[in-house]
Amino acid sequence: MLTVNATTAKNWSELGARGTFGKTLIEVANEMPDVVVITADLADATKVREFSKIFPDRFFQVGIAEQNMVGVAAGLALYGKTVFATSFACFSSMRVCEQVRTDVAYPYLNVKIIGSHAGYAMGTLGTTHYSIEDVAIMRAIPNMVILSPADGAEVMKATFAAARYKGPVYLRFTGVENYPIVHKEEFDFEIGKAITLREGNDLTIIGTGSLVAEALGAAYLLEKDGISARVLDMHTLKPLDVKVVSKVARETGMIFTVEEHNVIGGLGSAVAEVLAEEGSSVKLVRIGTQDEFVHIATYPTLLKRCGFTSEKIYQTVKTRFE
Amino acid sequence: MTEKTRYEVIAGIEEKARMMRKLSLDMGLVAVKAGAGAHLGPGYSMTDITATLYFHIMKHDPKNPEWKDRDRFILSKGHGVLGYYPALALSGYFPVEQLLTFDTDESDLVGHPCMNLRYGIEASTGSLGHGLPIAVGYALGGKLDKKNFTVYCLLGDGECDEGTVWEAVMTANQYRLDNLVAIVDRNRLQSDGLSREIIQMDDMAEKWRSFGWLVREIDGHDVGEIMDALHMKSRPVGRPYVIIAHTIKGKGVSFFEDDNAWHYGRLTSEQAQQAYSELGFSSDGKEMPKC
Repeated sequence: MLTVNATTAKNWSELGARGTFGKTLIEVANEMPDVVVITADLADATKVREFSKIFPDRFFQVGIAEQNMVGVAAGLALYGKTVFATSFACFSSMRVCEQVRTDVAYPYLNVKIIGSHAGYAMGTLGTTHYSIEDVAIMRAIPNMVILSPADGAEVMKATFAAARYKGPVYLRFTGVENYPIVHKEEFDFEIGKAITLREGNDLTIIGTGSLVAEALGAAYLLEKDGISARVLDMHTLKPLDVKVVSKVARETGMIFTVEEHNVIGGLGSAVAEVLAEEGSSVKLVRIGTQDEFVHIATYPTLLKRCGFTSEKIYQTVKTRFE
Repeated sequence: MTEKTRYEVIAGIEEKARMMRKLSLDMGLVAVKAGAGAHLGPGYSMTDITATLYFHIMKHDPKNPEWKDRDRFILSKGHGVLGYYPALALSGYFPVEQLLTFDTDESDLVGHPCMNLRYGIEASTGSLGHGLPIAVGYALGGKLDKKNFTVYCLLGDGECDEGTVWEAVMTANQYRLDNLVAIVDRNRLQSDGLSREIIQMDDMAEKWRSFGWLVREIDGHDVGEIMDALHMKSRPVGRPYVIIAHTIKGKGVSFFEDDNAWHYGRLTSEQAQQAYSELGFSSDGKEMPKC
């Protein structure tokens, strides 16, 4: 098992989610001989090329045929393998939706679907390659676990956790290289259990993926204004940590969710469901894509325009906090 | 015990196929009572193939359905359950009487196969174009672990309209999967009618051949031909193999044959009586085959 410290955190940050995933997968494969990898012509882009060189027999390339990739992954899993199937998030959710649902999730197979470049990480490559719907799709599929790690260290932990978990997992990777660091030292990662990164009593910001770091940044800005913000790292979007949502609803005055995803069907929706079902009167603001196809731009521009940077989250909180 | 002659082996498989068709009628009647129809035509066209696989070709052990070295059968044309469940029951995976729960409330035997190894059902299929990719995955797993089992995958010819079939066809060729045998039930009809008028695939054999597969075309109702085509000695080394089995949809009952109304139909008791008689059973259908 790799350990988290200042040096590894820095290295993983530089590698970004995909790079860290690729490195971790080799450690996972050394530990677990049944782990195999399959890709649809995106070995380089999803950083599994190194794996393919070290474990050529355990690597399968199906070409540009994502639906087939998931079907073949299901067959490998039925046979007894633990399969990591890699593609861009837009394809590994939307293009293969039915195969994920019928071939993988329904029979509860040991297939880990990797959605890299989720959200707007593709920048000027455009909307065809954006993925702001994947969480909504995967949440609606029974049996799926959805992991959305905040930084390199968490990508490492989530990859190991997915490999050890017996069943279907969707691993969502957001952000690009030089990932913002959230975890600089060893921490416990448990599927379905959110991490409280910062205590606070006035309000709570629940972040997921690489926007957790932005949520933390916003909390520091708010502190200067005398607003005490609690920050949660919701690395598991399904099953959602319902207990922690109830807890912050009881203990703090307002909840803001932050996600690089449409506000329909993602983290914000999941939190809203919990609050509504509990009859909570706590007000919720969902920061995310406001149900639109944004005009294509570079990634940093889109983060700003969608209100995902620390400064923008801070401004939204200041405007909406009551 | 002396070894059976070829004639005896064929006669034995034909008898199993006759029993399977009878049991399909029983299931069809149960389905009507439960308010459903049944895919009799697609089941009957493939019955001689599944009978040959289950009662002569495949290495499998109904008492040990999780046996790691077993041959696998994936019914990619998942609506063909009437040509599948009876083979599993007659093999001993579950009691023949259980077939009479078909399509009834809460039954394990539903209109499209639901993965259940205890019953010998390897995969959940029914969404067309999914079975062959799964079979390819199974075959890759077997190759990786140097196992000797074969994966058999039965597809419909109409199913070959699905793009994922051809994606999997290319993967099988790329990985030289000679532990994979695909069988196309070429009955030339699909849900909306004559396949030729929907998506013309007169060059079915040529298509598979051009994708690198060894192709053999047979009469899918001639058990001797099916046996020979599936024999190890007919199988290629280093490449995948497809058998295009020319069949008649509804084969075995005169008024089912080539009538697409039986793609999914509701059997009346009068029709059932005639069908039982044509199959050589008493017209009341009460006689119950044993495994």
